[in-house]
Amino acid sequence: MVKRQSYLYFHTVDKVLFRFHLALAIIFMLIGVCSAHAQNLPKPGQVIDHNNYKEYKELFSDIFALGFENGFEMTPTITVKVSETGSYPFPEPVKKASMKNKGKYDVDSEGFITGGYDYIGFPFPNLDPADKKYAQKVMWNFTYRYLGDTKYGKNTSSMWLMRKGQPIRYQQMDYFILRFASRYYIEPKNVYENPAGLLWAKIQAFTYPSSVRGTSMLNYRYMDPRKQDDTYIYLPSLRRVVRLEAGERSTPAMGTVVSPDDFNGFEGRNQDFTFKYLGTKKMMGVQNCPWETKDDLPARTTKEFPLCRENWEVREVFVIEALPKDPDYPVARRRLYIDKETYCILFSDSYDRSGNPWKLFVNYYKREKLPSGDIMSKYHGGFGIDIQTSFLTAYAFTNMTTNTHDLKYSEFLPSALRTSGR
Amino acid sequence: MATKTLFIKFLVKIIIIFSLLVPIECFSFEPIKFGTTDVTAYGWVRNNLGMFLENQPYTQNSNDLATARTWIRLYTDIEFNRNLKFYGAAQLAWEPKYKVEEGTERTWDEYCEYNDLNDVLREASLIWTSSANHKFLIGRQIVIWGEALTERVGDVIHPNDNRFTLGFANLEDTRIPSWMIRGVHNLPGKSSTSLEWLIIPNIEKKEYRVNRLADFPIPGVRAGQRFGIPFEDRDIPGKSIGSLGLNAPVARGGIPPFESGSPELPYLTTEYPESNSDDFRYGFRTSSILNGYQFGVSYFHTQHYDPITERRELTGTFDPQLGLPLREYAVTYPQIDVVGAYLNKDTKVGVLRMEAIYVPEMPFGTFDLDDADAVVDRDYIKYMVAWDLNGYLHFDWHKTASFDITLEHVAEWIPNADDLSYLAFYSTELPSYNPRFAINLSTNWFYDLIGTSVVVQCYPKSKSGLIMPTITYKHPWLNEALTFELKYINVFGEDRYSDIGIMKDKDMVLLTTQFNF
Repeated sequence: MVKRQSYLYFHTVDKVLFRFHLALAIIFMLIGVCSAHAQNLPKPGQVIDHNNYKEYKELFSDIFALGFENGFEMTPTITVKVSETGSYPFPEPVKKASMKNKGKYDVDSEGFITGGYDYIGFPFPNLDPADKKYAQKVMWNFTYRYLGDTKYGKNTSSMWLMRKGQPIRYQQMDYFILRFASRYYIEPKNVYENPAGLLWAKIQAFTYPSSVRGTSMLNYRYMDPRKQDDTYIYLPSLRRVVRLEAGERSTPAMGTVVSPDDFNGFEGRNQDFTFKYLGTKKMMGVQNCPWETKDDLPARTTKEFPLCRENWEVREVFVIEALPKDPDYPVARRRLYIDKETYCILFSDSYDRSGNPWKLFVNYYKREKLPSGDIMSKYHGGFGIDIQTSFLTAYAFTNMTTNTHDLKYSEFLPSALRTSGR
Repeated sequence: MATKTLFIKFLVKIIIIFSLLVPIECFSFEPIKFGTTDVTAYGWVRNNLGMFLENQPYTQNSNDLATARTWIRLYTDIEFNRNLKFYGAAQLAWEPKYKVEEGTERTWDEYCEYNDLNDVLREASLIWTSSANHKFLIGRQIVIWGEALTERVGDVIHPNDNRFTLGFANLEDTRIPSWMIRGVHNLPGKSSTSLEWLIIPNIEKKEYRVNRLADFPIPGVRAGQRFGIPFEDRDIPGKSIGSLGLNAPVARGGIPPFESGSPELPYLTTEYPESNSDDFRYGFRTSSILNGYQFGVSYFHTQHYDPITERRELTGTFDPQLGLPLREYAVTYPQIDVVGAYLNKDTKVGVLRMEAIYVPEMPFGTFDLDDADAVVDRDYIKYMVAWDLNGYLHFDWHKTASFDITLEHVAEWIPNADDLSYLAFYSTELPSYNPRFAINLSTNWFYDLIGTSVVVQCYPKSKSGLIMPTITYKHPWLNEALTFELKYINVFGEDRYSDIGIMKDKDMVLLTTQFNF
């Protein structure tokens, strides 16, 4: 088994440290090779299900394994089919911008990036597992990973809500994201200067069913990580934009199991958490979900939720534990499994303040061809489940496109929510 | 009776047609495509069933049915392309003839408002987005400004329809929409400021240009409607003329003479705002974001939506029964300018919301028998400060949602209010400073299967207030299309002539059932 390496993974610091790093690298490679041998890896074409999952239990998160065992006590037991491990490198402009950041930045005692990071490229392309700040640096790379200059999804985001195995609601929404930094394709490139100093802005506008149609949410994240996020929601029943607060990020939104901090597996602010690096390991994950259109998804009222059963690959992941600094934060511990090549979260296991397993989030990604011809991995769907109350929310982002629309800052102001709703 | 039967048949037909059109699997419309045009139709059927918990004063029987209103609302979105859209909303409503209102002058037809275009066509607007920075809307619309949630402060655009409601209809349902032209512009450059302007030419039917009120009772003459405000039956000689033109002055043998002459009787006229350019309503509002603050200013020129009673000249005619001269008292809606400002900020603990309006020289009725027109102009200020603590209070025994708290403080301040009275109807002295406080505690259970909230509002000056616990349930059947809401409304107060105390006899239990399609 050849251990694949992220292009970010190795570098040479200087001659003095070279031997030390080489020795460390050899030690870690040996550990990795040994652990790889210890892991029983499935072959492409093989099916993992209730009958054989115990052989591969280590390749899934602890809570996900319950899906093979008992279907989370609400769905049929899970079956997945293994495919060949693919390669999903970031586009060349991202790589180039990242390599310029080699050795330029560090993390201070509060957990913030030092050295004047300009939000372009990965801040830490030269990760060293021996670094005491390794976990923080992985998470900053995760935070500033390239996700496209813009995302445009008109009526393309679908959600299935199920309680104890029974479908209760199917809903759809529009999804628009504008990123103001790490822009490589749409003018203005690199950084889109904006008076609010935003890193990204996101609008989710519900279009279906009629009970939630017109409800739109606007999220801001600032380039300055010390600034807290801002959230506005347009409520058609009030016909006004209401300011929400930062604390809402840990509260499930719109009757789903997903809180804003759960988006994309983890969308909390790094400074609100401490991170522990628990190692790297091989796990299964979906990097090229076969769903193309809504027709590939289950009917909206089916008892079956849209589980991606195909194209599960063996991936190499960072295992990071996120612990909230706020003792009142409802999730006491999150275990994040982050793909080393794509910096995408494949699984996220959450534990409550009593230490009991509580929620699982599983994410699927898909290879996408950008208008420039470059290929990148995009967030394509997944599901979240509260195993204590047997409540599930599954989601799919079919037809959402990257870098196809030149979105403007003015389309992401609270006033835009007022006029887009009724 | 024939009308009633016809309408019931009509309503049933509509519901059947909608039901047949709805895809069976989801009970909700899918967008229909006509080339590049998307048409989406959706809406709801709702029933409000409420029972009064107390006998209503000034009625001719003790029937407790407060409401049994069934409505259907149909929304339509038509997206011609990314730049041109149409939005429409139509509404039909049906109510039975309420026994408690026996003796009122209103007819049953008025409750079945499908025969009045102003009630049927709630909204119809064409929305043209000329660029990312400019948007224009023309048609019948509802525009809500302001930050306050428990009552209206900067939300000054629309009059209210209070004929059929008390607490059970949300604010949006009680707005009277207006025909208007409206623009929203993002200021050029790298600004975070937008400007919204609107012009309302007042082309609604005249009664719909101001607040609509249920009939109040006139003891011995007519019963009141169930949501009519109570009759001013206190005798305050030299000051009060009670409910103008009604039997209080008659019972006293007329109003004491103004200037000189014999006692006289009031002769009531009403002057609604006109649809000429003098009575156009217009205004603007800005919205800016800076350092995490969202803020703006607003200006709106309008007419007072609550009536002001103005003393006029003697009409030259005499009351045929008493032989007393008649003096005109005109119910008017004078011009006012409303200047406002608002701000909100997400602090580290909760969201702070603030807003204020200032109306220079706002007209007030005085009922002062020594004053020529019994109307004075006073500066008027109303402000709101609120704090929302949402998403912070998590408990291990209730992990699926937080307990959310909203505190809202609203106050009115009229620097010199010594001789002012409430509305046009009451002789209660208007306090110079009149604060109120509201708290809303809410959460949901089992991921929004059940919602619970309690609203408490109090007016310390009049020792009146409101307690309103609510429980909602969303049935999982048919994509959560069916919802139920049970509400208890308790109104308390020392008297029924000030603040929310005017509703103190109208405690009720209310069940709202809604089917979304």
